[in-house]
Amino acid sequence: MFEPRLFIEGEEMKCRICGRAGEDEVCKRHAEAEIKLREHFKVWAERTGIGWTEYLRAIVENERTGTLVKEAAIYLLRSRR
Amino acid sequence: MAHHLLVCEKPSAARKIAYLLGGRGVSRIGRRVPFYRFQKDGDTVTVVTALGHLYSPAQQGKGWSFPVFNLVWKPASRGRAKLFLVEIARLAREVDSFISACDYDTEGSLIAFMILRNACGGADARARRMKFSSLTRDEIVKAYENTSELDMPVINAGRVRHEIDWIFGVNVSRAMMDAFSCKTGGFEVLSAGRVQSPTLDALCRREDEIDLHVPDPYWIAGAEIRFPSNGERARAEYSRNPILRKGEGEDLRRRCEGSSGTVSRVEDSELTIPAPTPFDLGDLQSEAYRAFGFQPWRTQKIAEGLYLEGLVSYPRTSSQQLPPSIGFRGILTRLGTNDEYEEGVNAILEYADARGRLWPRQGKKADPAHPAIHPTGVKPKRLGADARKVYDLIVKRFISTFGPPARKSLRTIDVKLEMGDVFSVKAEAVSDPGWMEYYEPYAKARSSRLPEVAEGEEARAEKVWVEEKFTDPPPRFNQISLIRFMEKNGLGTKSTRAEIISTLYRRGYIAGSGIRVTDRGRGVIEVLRKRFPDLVSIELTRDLEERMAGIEEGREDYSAVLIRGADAIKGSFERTISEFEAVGEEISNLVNALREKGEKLGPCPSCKNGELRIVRSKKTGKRFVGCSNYGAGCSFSAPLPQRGAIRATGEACRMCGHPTVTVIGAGGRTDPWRVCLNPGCSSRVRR
Repeated sequence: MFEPRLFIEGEEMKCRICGRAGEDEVCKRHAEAEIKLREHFKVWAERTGIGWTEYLRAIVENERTGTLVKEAAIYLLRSRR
Repeated sequence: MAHHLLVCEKPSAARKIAYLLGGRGVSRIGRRVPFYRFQKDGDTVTVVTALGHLYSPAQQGKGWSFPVFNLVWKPASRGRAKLFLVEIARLAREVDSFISACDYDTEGSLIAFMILRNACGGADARARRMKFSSLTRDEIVKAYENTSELDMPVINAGRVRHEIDWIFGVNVSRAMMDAFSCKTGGFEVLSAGRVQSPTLDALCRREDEIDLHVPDPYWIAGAEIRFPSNGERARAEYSRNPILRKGEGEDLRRRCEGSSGTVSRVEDSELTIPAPTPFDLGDLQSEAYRAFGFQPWRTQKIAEGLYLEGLVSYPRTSSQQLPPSIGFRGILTRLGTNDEYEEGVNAILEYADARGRLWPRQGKKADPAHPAIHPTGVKPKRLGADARKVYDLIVKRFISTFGPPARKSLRTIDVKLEMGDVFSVKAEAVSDPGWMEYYEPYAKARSSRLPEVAEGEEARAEKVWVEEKFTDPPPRFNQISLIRFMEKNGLGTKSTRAEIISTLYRRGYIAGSGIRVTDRGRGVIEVLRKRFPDLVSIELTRDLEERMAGIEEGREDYSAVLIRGADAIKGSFERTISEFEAVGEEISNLVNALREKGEKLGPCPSCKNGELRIVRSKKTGKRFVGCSNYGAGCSFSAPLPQRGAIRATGEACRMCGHPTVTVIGAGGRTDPWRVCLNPGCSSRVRR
């Protein structure tokens, strides 16, 4: 099961989701996944009236969701962002 | 009395050509390296064979470095190929004239050219070329009697392809391996190729799209409509599908279920489906995949076997057209002597007589060298199960191309319910099966009855349903769709595409029938994207392919294309050399991550706390499974297949509880198979 990594001050910046090197909290690919998640939330909210947390849960449970998006959604759920 | 030397591409073709030309007077000479001799029209003919390419590009001089651009064509220096080459050189000294009788395509022309130039003392300057599309007596005799000059543009196109591929492949692979070796002192095979790498890059991009897919919800509504006038029922779709708001679907169901309405529109139309076009190689591979699940390389191999038997025409063609010179009536009449095809052939000939013309439907694609794939009419004697399937498919496709179009009647019935919502019933029925009759079971003329209703009639929505759906990610490529993609983007040629895909499987870069890029494949592409962006560029590959085709058509110059190819990648090499350390670091990170992940196969069933890993014997170089606690006394070991990539499944065997692994791409197989690491386990059966 996926576990978000802890961020230690002073340590080389690594993606908190996959551990790959990056210049931010998450790597480029997971950052792209997060952007997509936020973009599509607008569609979901308009079509279903769903809230952010509920949306993330639905995305995680959906079998069509891409792996990177699923990992980003789990990360967002756990970090409550 | 002259003595001619005929150079063929492979032993089976040499044998066939010799007997087609020499009949009963053929003598087979030699056991390990056979050749054939006979008299024809007062001349002596000796037929020799190659084993595919007997010459290949290699580095001029010794040493391991990059970039290397000095290449020479070197003869096979080992094994049977060397024996064949020695024998050809010996026989060449006894003859007066030379004829290339290799397959009439780029590779065949190049194989013969290299042999004639290098093993036959520069005989390429005076050699002649036999041009044929099928191994039948008529065609081979005609080709022998009407030889032409060697097709130099085709040969040069083949040469430049091999040379550029060599420059790309050898240099990039060496650059990556050298950088890794300098950094770590170790060795790891990481290969790249001019066509292979852009193909892998395209697969990675698709994988990215799938990984980044966010499914969006939508709803589809439907209804079961009953027409009280005749009691018929039909399934109907809501006219305003898809529904884009959750509540709307539910409201629709509530107001429509059980409600009545009237038939507001009945529209009839007819759909004409023309006969299929003849097969080019891509179409045959795609149809054999659809009908039998055969992977493209397998279909190509079977079709080549059928060609060597003289049963079908040359399969490596991109033509979808059949010229009348192949003799439509003759082939059909000969096919008609086979009980299986008699009925279809007779019907086609009757149809043609009534129409006053026997003419197949022609496709758009043409190939100057060969017609579309078609049967020769020669009756097969013994065929294996798979070959029989492909042969039957080719024959039935050929027959059906002459058939009349099929016709379908379509009926759309709109039902307007009380509240104004419209549901549409769409029905279709085959009114005339046409060519489909001759292409069964590969085309099925599914027939259903059209509901008989008239406008203004009463209708009732018995049931209404609303289904929640989600947008799908783009589909994964399979081997057929990947071949189509490569075709569309000018990657590789009709003859090389299936082989390139097999190479990607063998290298462990891709896996599965719905193609998935492995960690190794993705890692290699990431290094290439950063360090050799030109190598993964579809544009560069397409440009080079177009230029190579230009050489074949006489538009482009051999040397200019070769220089363009080398120049294209030179810049990347210069950059790599200047950043050698950084490249080495990237590759070693990749390799270490892959090794760490790939070598751990699961917990040791013997000592319980060790980790099973892939180990290579220092003595034999063979790989096997050993325990990480070997030094601490655990002696568990298990054999492994020596070919193919090994991946841990992370699952224990259901029979004995030992860890299991997946073997990918072993022995030409592309479907992965699972094996238990316990040598004594009863489950050790290929899946």
